[in-house]
Order: sequence, then structure tokens, then C-alpha cells
Amino acid sequence: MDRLATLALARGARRLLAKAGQDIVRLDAGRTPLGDADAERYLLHEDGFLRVPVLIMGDLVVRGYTEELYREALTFASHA
Amino acid sequence: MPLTLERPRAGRVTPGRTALLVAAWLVVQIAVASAQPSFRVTHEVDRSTPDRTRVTGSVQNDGRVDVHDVYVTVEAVDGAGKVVARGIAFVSPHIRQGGRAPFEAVVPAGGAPTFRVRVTGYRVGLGASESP
Repeated sequence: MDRLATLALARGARRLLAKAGQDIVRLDAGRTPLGDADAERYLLHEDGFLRVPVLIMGDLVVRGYTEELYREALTFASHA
Repeated sequence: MPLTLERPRAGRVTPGRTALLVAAWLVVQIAVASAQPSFRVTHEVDRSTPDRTRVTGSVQNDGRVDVHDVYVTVEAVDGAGKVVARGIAFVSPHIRQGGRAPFEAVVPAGGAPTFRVRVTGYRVGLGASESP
């Protein structure tokens, strides 16, 4: 998926969990949808494509997959 | 009395020209349709790990063109038909015509009775990403 398809995918999301190296980035935009800049920064690979698994649960977008990340995603999603 | 033949003027629509245009349009449509990628997706659902349903399967390229950067979307659907979670997985950078590539997606929605899988992204040649 290229940039436009990825931005369309993230449109409407308000929260984001992204695996970034050893860390997890957590964004919570409250009532405001995440901006295109956030979607580009955290979802797109440097070649401009979406390369890692992405999970969408309601208004939560999760980038990457690890057991720890998905455990947190389930907790995060249940606090919507 | 001299015999004169009337030539069709340029731009004038005649039954012959119309038939020719229709035939050309049909040929173009058939060519475009035959070049459209066609996918067959099979999948299995593994619910053995609570809350982390694993969906594995393969994408078969039944079209007449090679495709690039293929993605699938796995949708977990609840009993009311509502999509409760979606997982997007990158399948392969290249699937040649007649070829097949495996995929795997983990979707934490073990309670969902149904999982749907479809190809949601691909590229033909050097073109932009497309969605079926």
C-alpha cells in the first residue's frame, strides 16, 4: 500500500500504538483524529509503502506485531 | 451526364464508422479485462491462542499479469456482521502469473465467528497501488 492508501487506512483513527525499535510509541489524539503527518511518520516505511502488519480495532491503529504490543492493544482497545 | 460519387465528409458519422468504433472499443475492453489481475485467496483460522487468532493462507494470482506489492486485509466479523478488527498484512513483493504466495496475520479477535480475507492492495508493472 502506498502513501495515499495508507493515509486512507488511518483516516478516522484517534489512537496509535507503534513499535519503534525496542520502544512502543503511544499516541492518543482524544476526540481529534490523528493527522496525516502522524500516519506518515509512524505507518509508512522509508520507501513510502506500508511494509509491516497493521491492525485496526475501532479508532485504534497498531503498527507492527509483537506479543507485548498486541496485549497492550487489547487493553488499549477496551478503554475506548 | 457526369457520374459523381459522394464522399463521406470527415467527421461524418456513418454506420460503417460506428461499427468500426464499437469493434475497436470492444477489443480495448477485452484487452483491459484480460490484463486485470484475478486472485484466489484461501485461508485457515487458528484459534488455539486466546485473543490472538492467527489467520494463515495463500494468494494465488490467476490473472494474466505479474503483480507486485500484494497486501491482504483480514476482517474479524462478529455475529451481527460488524467488522470488529482488521489486520493488514504484506503478502509478497512479487507474484508472477499463475504463482502463489503465503501470508499470515494475527488478529486479536478470537471471539469473532467469521474471518474474511481479501486482496486489498497490489501493483501491476510500475503503476501505482491499486485496490480490487
